[in-house]
Amino acid sequence: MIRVLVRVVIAVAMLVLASLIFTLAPNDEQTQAPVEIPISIGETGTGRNIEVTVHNIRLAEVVEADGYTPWTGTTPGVWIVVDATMSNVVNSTLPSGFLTFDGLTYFASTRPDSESLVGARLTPGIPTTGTVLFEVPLDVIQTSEPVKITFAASSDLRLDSAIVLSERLDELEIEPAILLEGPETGG
Amino acid sequence: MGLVARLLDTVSTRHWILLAGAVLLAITGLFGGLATVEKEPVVLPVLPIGEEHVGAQFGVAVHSVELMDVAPAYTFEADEGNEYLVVSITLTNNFVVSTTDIDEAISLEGLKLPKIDRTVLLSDSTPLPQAHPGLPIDVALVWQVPRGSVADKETVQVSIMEASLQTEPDLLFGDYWYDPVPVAHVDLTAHRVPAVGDSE
Repeated sequence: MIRVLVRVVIAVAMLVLASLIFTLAPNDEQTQAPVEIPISIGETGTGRNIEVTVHNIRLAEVVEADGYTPWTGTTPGVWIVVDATMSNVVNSTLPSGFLTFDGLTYFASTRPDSESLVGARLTPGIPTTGTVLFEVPLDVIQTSEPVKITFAASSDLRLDSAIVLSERLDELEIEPAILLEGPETGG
Repeated sequence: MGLVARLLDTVSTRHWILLAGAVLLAITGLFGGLATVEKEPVVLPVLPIGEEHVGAQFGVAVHSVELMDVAPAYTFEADEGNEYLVVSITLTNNFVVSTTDIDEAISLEGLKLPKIDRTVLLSDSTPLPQAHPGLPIDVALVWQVPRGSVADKETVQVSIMEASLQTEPDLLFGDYWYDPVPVAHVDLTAHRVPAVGDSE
């Protein structure tokens, strides 16, 4: 009888220990998280394969491009226009960008197509200057909480560098329209 | 304690398993046993045209079903013998991250359609548009169908779908939606949009 009870106690103890280890062990999100490099406006952040300088952030009701294919972007929300310079460090990639706020994630807009920096292939060592657009509801910019804007060399951020800018947007004026200047390499 | 000890010592594992099975059967008996039960047919609500169904993944309002020779954001006609079937909806992403999986929002189950050709943002013809959290967009979902498979003025039932959310701490794929099922219908009349230069 005692032996049976001892076995039961040992089994229960092992189950409790296994649950504890399972709970405390870092998950994929923790073991594969990107290495974040914080920057502020005007400052350059250099990661493993991307270098980013954010020059300015503007807000607009409408965004236009008059490049090879003219485009007018209307939105029920507001455009966040990020003027930046990017380059790769190691090898050429298509960069990615996303904005997070209050648990929500907004990917950089693909609507401007090649007029956006995230639609442009970067080159190692040769900076490309242009804009990255985010389309968000008005309440994202009407709060005193900063939004977090992240840029990476590609859309796979696992164990790679991420250049991160945190910025309040509620004091910026919303411009009626902004004309995009397409990505300029070497600028 | 003495009784429990005697039971543990005298009752074999085989009998414990049989006892557990008997208890399980007795419990299932309370709910009708293990016999196959006919599933009650689910009657889904039929929404008026343009009324939004609000789900956890998407809010969807269905506006129109049209037959076209050249669909929005296309500059060329469909393949020989085909035409485009275009469903226009207003979609709001109610989830927490931008997505391009807009084609999961509706289904035309009765038509046995091939794979969807493309989704298009109506305001500027952007293909494969992103739906950002909290921002409603007007989009067209475009199928290429054999000409005549849907007639002008035919009633088409559009099903609004809801998927289940799989949450897993995966940095690359994150949470995702799977197994969409219909939750509401909208009945619409298909209209043929005359081709440019068509005298009719």
